[in-house]
Amino acid sequence: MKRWMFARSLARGATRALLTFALTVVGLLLITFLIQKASPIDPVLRVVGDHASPEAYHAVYVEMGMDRPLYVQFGRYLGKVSRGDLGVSTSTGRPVVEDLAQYFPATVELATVAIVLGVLFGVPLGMWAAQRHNGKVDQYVRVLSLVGYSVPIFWMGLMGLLLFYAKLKLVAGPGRIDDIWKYTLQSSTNFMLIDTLRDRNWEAMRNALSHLILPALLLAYMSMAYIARMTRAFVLEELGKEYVLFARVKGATETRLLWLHVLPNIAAPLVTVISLSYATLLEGAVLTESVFSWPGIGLYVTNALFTADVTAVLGGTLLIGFCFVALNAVSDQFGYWLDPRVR
Amino acid sequence: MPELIVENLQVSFPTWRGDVTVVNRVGFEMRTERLGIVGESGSGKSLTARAILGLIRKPGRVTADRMTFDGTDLAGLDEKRWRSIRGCRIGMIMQDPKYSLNPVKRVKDQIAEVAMLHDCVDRKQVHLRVLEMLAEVGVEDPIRVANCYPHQLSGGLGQRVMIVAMLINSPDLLIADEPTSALDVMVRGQVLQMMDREIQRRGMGLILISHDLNTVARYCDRVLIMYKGRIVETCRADRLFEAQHPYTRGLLACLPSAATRGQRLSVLDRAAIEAEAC
Amino acid sequence: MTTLRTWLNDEAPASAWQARCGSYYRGLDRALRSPMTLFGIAAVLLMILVAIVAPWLAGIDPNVQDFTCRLSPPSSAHWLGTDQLGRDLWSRLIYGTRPTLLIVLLVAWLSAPMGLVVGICAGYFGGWINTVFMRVTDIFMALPRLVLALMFVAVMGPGIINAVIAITVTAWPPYARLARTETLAIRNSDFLHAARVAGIPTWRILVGQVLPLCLPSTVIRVTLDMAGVILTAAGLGFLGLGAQPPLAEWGAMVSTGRLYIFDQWWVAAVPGAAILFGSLAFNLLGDGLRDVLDPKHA
Repeated sequence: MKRWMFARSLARGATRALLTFALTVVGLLLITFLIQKASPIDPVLRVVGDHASPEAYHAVYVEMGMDRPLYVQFGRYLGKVSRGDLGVSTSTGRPVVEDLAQYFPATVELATVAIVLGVLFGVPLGMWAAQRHNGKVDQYVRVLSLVGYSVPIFWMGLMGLLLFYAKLKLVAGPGRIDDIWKYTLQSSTNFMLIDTLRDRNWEAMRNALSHLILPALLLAYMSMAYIARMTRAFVLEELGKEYVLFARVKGATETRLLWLHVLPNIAAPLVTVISLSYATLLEGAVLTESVFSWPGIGLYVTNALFTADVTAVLGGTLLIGFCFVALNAVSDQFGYWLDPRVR
Repeated sequence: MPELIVENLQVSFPTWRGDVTVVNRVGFEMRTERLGIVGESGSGKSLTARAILGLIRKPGRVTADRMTFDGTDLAGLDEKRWRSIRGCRIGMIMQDPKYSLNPVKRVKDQIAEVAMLHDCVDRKQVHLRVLEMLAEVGVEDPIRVANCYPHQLSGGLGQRVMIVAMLINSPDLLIADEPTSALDVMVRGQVLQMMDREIQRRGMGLILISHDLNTVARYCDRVLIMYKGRIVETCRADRLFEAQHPYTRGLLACLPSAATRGQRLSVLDRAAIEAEAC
Repeated sequence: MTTLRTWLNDEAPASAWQARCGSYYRGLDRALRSPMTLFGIAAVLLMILVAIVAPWLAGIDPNVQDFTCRLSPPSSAHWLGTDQLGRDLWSRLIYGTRPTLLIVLLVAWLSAPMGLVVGICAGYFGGWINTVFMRVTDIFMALPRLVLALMFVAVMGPGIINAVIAITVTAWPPYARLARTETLAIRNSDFLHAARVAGIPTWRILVGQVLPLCLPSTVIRVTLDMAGVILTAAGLGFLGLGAQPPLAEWGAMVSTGRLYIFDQWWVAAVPGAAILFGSLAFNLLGDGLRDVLDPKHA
């Protein structure tokens, strides 16, 4: 009986989350649609050119559905997007969806490695700082975090390249992998680390890693700053609670207390924080990738901006926006599941 | 139970107005007996208990002329030695099991943890022992309760769980800090009786902290009355109602009873108490 | 002076006004003890001051191009060197405070009232207004700020005004949430009931009674958000979407300096450090304000 009720409440929660998610995606599409509509550039002119005749103009006008009421146009737009038709890029000449599929893995690879590093360093650091509240460690961690989320990522990327690539020659430069290796790889998931692993091409993998390490560490620092700060705040709040006192009464060590008692209690909000950080990394790709010539979504969008390829910019925006919204929704659900009290 | 000696215990905290001493020159000795500490909120009784377990953290300061348990000097202990005492030789249960138990862990794991931390119970037998003890304290369905999360238990069940957790290592002394204040009136008696039975059976000592004179009078052998951080009176529980100190008399007079029905309840005269205290 | 301090530290304040003054005084005391907060306050004030006295401080016109000394390192003539068009970097750095602070100010001025109105109305009137407003807020809150701003500016054309609008559109939701929470907490208070019974019109109650209570947390949040706005605005500038050349804007300066990063690294390093400084200043100020106005979160 209980299990059935549990399953039902889970299903109810999931449907509600799905609905909110769908609504938010529609909201995203609506906003991008409205922005396009408010654009001072006439999209019909872009297709027919400046010297087209009034008849040609009118023909294209009708064909693009511009004579229909706004909500009908939005409906058409929704339909196209859900079918995966995001238009054709004017700079690459290919459907935007194809472009996105090609460039997306690079962004995901970088962001994923960065977030893993960020969590591995950020959570313990935050816990350590909370444990030594107001002590030296706490001060250092706070300053470190503060700088981490005050620094402009594109500038840090440039400085990092200057220092570690140009001056110290510790890492490889821009790009994901040297050209020598790029065309010898047989596997083609477009995730360099996975591809080189599957090919058992260790030289290539080392090369890929040396390209990846600098941008990944810099992005990791930024997400670590946020994660450490939030972990510290969560842990400090928990440390004032009575179950912590009881754990001490039981004779538990401070380490055990933090990792086995407090951490499970902050797991839910921490997952939300980590997802948010991951989403921010994906979003920040537009700034970092151009600095490192990293061929991901960010670079694609930046290039599209310079060539006034609005379709591509729109496509990239939608993809990143969609990921952002999806991550938000998933992290909310995660938080819901992790808390036995809600169950 | 080995002897617990406390002499001239002081606990103070720094505030922006200067140091505030919340436990002031408290001293007592106890062996295998049930000691009650009574006082209103803010009298320092809980902090005394925490000081005995070394749980007062910076910026609080604890000093004492003497604080020994079984010959071991508690005042100068390092954390490692403290940990070997807490949960193993001295235990403490607190007011509200909803807050004292970890909300995201099952009850059986929380009880088993105490046993495994101190290696007092054979590892393979731990879970069995947990169920046995739950039954001993009056839990009707130990297996179901053991698998529950704290929020799924009623107050009475929660306190029984806490008591099992603190008794599983057969400590010498149990400190109960307002164990029944958060419980329904009807459940209070059950829990206290069960606790009393277990204490007597194991030959343990008990420090019962409460603001309720009746409870303390009934379940303790000796009573300490605390007011504003000081012990103002000590007496035997059965002689409680003959107490001399104006504060104690004031507290006693505040207790409603059938005898005073229809009359105005008396109120503590703090001015007189302050005068007497100085 | 001592009588004032005694009055402020009185343990038994005689009036709500005295109690509030006392708590602000203690908060201020706490805040001023922290070196980081002091740094934040000083840094923000410095930025504002520099923006105002820029012409006198800079000395040289930031837009004067001099191809004879392009990309020169720091020297006595050009304190921070010159960029690729021979423009003085020190001067451009100083003048760069203006677009940054302008964007920050405009975004704060636009987004905070928007958020407050939405939040207070949702919290006070409840019902379907609450549901609709909060749904809209949730949707806007889940959208990526930078990317959406990017798209907006890309489509509408670059420039400070468009950048401000773009950022404002995604900046207001947190304030709405905050205001709604605060409003809900006091919605059923006696003093509001009393005001209603006394016949005070609703809008007056909202503005006069509810609004002041929402302000402290909003002010803190706005200050902290401003640090992020500086970064977003700089990001847009870096992509060429913010203030347009020849206007000196730090993000754009980093972008142009990018091409010379390996040899004349100061062209990109200096404006970027300024962005870091600005963002840091607002973060510290916000943290300090939080200590003063909302101590339990310190």
